[in-house]
Amino acid sequence: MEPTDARRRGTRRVRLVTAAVAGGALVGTGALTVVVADAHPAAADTAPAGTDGTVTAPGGAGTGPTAPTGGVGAGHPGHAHGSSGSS
Amino acid sequence: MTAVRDRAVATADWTAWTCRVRLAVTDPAALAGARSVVERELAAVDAACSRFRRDSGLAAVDAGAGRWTPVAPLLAEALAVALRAARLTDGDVDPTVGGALSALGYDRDLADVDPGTVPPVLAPVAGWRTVELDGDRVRIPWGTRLDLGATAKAWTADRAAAAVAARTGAGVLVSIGGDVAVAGPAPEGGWRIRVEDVTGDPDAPPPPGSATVSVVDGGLATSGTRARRWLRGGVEVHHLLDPRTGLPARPVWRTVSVAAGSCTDANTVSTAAVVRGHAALPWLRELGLPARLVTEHGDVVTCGGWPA
Repeated sequence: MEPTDARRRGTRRVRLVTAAVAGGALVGTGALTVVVADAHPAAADTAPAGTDGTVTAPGGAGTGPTAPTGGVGAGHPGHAHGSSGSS
Repeated sequence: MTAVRDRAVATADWTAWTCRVRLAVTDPAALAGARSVVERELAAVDAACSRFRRDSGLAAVDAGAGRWTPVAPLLAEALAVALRAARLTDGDVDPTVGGALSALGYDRDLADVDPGTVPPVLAPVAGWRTVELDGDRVRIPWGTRLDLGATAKAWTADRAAAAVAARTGAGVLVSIGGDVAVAGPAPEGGWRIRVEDVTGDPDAPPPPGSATVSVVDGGLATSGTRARRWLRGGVEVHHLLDPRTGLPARPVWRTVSVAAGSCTDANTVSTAAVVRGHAALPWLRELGLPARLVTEHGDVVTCGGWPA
């Protein structure tokens, strides 16, 4: 037996353990993803309500963003009621 | 929708969450009560969702990362809204960027951010699909920190506007740092909103490059890279992160303004558009939402019926 065999075997053992842990993490992540993907529709269906009970949520799980029913008009360039920019 | 004379619009301005807050109501007599309603909503959401309060519900979720943490109904709703935004944008708006923001130094109110001495470091983003929300409890992966900044402000504006309209019957506009929600009867000609790079004083003269539009319902939001910028180790960074890299989105659009059926949806889409960069325009056209995009060089592109 080569004098370095034991050390080499030890390294190999560490590599095997590392590979096993990495594989386990991948499997775990995949399982978690499936769990979360299943859970999200129900979560997104939750309808937020104001402190007075007013429902203010955007649409549920199957609803995408909708346009304002009144559209957007051209405003006068002078006085404005509000400002919208980054903040 | 009923309209009232513009001269009847009363306004109040104050600062919250390091943002300019504007409240406008079509019934001046309702202003004081309306402000109380808005302040209550702000306080409630802050207690639930703040990243900067150790006693917030969100801080408890972060502290309990790796295990199930019970959450109050308001935070559960805020999380549901954030996860919906993530799903609608295919992850461009992601609530798990809290750790990446902290790694960039944004772990306290912006005015107090430590410029640091080392350049920004990359922090992994777990991704919204790793967040498990199950009724009144939530579990996030160990080491993850949440940030609801991309949705909570707009959602609060929606909540506050709806609550004021329900309580007073007046038309109302609530703007929180430029995330604008309107409800109830609009004033004659609609609510006039000035769109600009950085949220400013609506009563001040309009700055060059701004545009004024009107809406009567829903919300309007602008996302951009001109505000919430800071230095980290000598490198200038901003707060709109690309969840795929954990770093500030590459500069394509300096501001994107979107109108939608709610302020939450408007801000979800405008934030995602900044993150998407060049891919934003075809996506916005597909959605059909009125939008205005300004390039880093100041060129303006509109779509979805946004007034030219």
